Amino acid sequence: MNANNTRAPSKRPLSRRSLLKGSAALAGIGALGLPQMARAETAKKGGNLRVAILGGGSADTLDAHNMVTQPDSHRVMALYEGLTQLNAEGKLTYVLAESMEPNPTATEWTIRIRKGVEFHNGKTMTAEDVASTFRRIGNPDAPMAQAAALKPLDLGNLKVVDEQTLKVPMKRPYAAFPECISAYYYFGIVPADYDPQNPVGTGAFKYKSFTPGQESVFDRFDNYWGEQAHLDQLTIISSFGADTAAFNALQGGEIDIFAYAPLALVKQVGEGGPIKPLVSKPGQWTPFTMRVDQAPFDNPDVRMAFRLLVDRQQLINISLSGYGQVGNDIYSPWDPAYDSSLKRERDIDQAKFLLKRAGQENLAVELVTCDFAAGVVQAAQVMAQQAKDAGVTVNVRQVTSDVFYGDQYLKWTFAQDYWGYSPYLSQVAQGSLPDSPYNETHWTNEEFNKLHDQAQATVDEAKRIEILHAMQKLEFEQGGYLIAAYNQSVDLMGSYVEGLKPAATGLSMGNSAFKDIWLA
Amino acid sequence: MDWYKDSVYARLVVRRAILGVLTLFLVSLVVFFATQLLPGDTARAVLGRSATPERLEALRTQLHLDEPAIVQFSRWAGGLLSGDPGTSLVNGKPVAELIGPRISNSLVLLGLVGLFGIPPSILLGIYAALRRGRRSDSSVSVVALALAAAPEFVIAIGLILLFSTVVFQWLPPVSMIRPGMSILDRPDILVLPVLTLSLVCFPYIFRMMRASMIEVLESDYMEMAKLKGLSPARLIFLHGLPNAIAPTVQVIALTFAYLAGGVVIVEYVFAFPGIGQGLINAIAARDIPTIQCIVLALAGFYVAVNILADVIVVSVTPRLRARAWQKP
Repeated sequence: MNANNTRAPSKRPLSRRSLLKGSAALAGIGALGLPQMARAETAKKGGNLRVAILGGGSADTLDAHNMVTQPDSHRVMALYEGLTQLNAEGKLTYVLAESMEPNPTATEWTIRIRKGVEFHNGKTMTAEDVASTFRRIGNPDAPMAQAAALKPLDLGNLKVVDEQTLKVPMKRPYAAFPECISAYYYFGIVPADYDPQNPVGTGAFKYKSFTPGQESVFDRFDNYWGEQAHLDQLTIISSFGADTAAFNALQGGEIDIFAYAPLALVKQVGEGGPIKPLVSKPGQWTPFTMRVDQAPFDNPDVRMAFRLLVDRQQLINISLSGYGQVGNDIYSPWDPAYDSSLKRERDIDQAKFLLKRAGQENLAVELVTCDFAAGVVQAAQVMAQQAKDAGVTVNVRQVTSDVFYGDQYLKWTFAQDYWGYSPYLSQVAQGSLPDSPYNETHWTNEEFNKLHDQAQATVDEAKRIEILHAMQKLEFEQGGYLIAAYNQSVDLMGSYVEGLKPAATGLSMGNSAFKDIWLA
Repeated sequence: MDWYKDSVYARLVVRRAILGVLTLFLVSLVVFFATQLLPGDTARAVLGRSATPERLEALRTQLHLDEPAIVQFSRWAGGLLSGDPGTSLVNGKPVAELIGPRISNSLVLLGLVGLFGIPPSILLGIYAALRRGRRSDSSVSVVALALAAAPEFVIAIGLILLFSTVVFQWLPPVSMIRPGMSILDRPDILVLPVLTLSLVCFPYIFRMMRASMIEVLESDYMEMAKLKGLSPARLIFLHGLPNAIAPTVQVIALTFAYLAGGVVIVEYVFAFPGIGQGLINAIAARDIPTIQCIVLALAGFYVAVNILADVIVVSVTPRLRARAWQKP
């Protein structure tokens, strides 16, 4: 029996349910046009938040640098923090770092870390911990998930100048260093003696218990360096296998938030009821990927034809229930360097012309898809329908995720994939360079690579943006991605869950802002 | 070994048990090699998207996945025979710890269905047989057919809508059991899953009971007993039921075996942490020791239930007892 639960389990659902009924009554009064009773605007302390996230399983982990399943990303964001982060508007902010300064050639960075930050075990964070974190992630014998982002670092020569200062020499210019480590579910700072079985970080919540495939429980960390969390306890539940079960649990008051809910449920939930939706800003993307080194996509005419034959708005309306923004085959819409002048419209005649020129009339291809995110399989089917207008036959083949991410991953000729939001140069490093770990289109373009090296050596932001515009134009003309939309994600929660704002990163729950949540 | 020679039951049980063990061995062999045929392996499942060739190799060596299949199987089988079901390849916890709670949860569910679901089905079968041809019989039979036609998840969701979310809010819509919590802490979470499973089994037991009971009721000895003036209760339960129950016992045994492992849909809809979901998780992660142990547990349960069913059938069928007695 959990002696530490503030309330006995059997009492919980009833109290929540009566609260839901109360909220429904309030909404009813509001609908009549009477002045609504003012809701308390001040945050209340206390409570246990139960969040259900699908996609968990036996491989669930709390390792700071090695997350595998979708629930893991939020567990990790509750426990750990990185030097930098993308905030809810998609802008780069400093978290554990006070400042990061490059030398004029971007071959050495000086990081000043925040003073007085405590780990969950009471130890104070120093520059040595940051250094050992980098070494752990980039360890050549056991590289962590995002080791590629630390490849330019000269890990053998990290210099701890003093407790707050770390000098990081680079093997090559790395002007985009701060934004490339901003996804802090991969770059959380951990103490030098970190042990994933007893996870210790600097986050607003500390580890309490963990059962892979079922749930993980976190308590508020009272010595957090920033503004303390309002919640007493946070429970992330990964045992649900079906959307229906999670939604029923939310309706019955057994959970408080259903993260990454099916988009179609938003209409069903309606306005002002006991359940409210939080719709993120568009940020994630689920592109169609074409291998530029394999027939028929090795011919740039064919790639352009495919990009011209999709009806992007229709794709969004059908597969995402309208929850998306039209994409134009380039990524990172919130990056200051994003070139919004690059646009593309559907042009069937031009598509047919290009296919004819490439000798690929009546082309037939297989599209491999998998249900790894909302709307992906539907998008494949809609695209196949739209392709018929240009005489192209797309045979959709759906596989399970263990097959999709198995031996054939990154080798499929024509498939889809899921990307969270990353700033431009960070995304380029992950998927568009010859040595990128996730270059599923196998795209390598000499001019692009040259421009990339230039950009990484350009410390001046305005000049760098010009170079990035040129890089985007190349991808816009010749790349292997078909990005029809930037997706929004939806969380459904009880109307008493306050404090969350829609996030540009597309990450659920306002960018995992657990410490901002309070229960009315 | 007089006890063996004298008791027909002892011989039946021992013979079946030996065959059962052989079956278990064959099942574990087949499942092991079937898992080998699946694309991908545990290393891929654990590393997920961050799998690089070097990390895959390192992990495979650590988990002994690079050894030939026969060696891996022998290692697991040897461990099991010496009492150690092994450790999970995915998270390193002992398999017994991982699946123990799930097995006991599923057993509790099974037990409750056996207690609250089976007897009413039998009684309704008898009732319908007594009222055969009349309106009460046809109405119950129609309901049974409708339930047999409806998929399990439709019944499950229908019950949730009825008792939990839309019509009434009497019961919780999901049966989440937190780790460390006992399944009997909150009995109300068990009501809907048990009700669903009972409704799922009801048609088969009901129709079998009804059919064999009708046959028995129309037999000569039953007419004789009625003419003798025996009370209806004695007629039905002392003379009729034992003769009619044999086929139904077989159906009940099959039903139990199906319920033990085949109700993943119900576990999904109610988020019930039972053995079905445990098996799905293990297969998705290619966690071979866990898969083997769960499959063995299910097969062993199936074998045991069948032995029990055969014993009951023999006990109500004197003809079989006599024949068995004659065999050396």
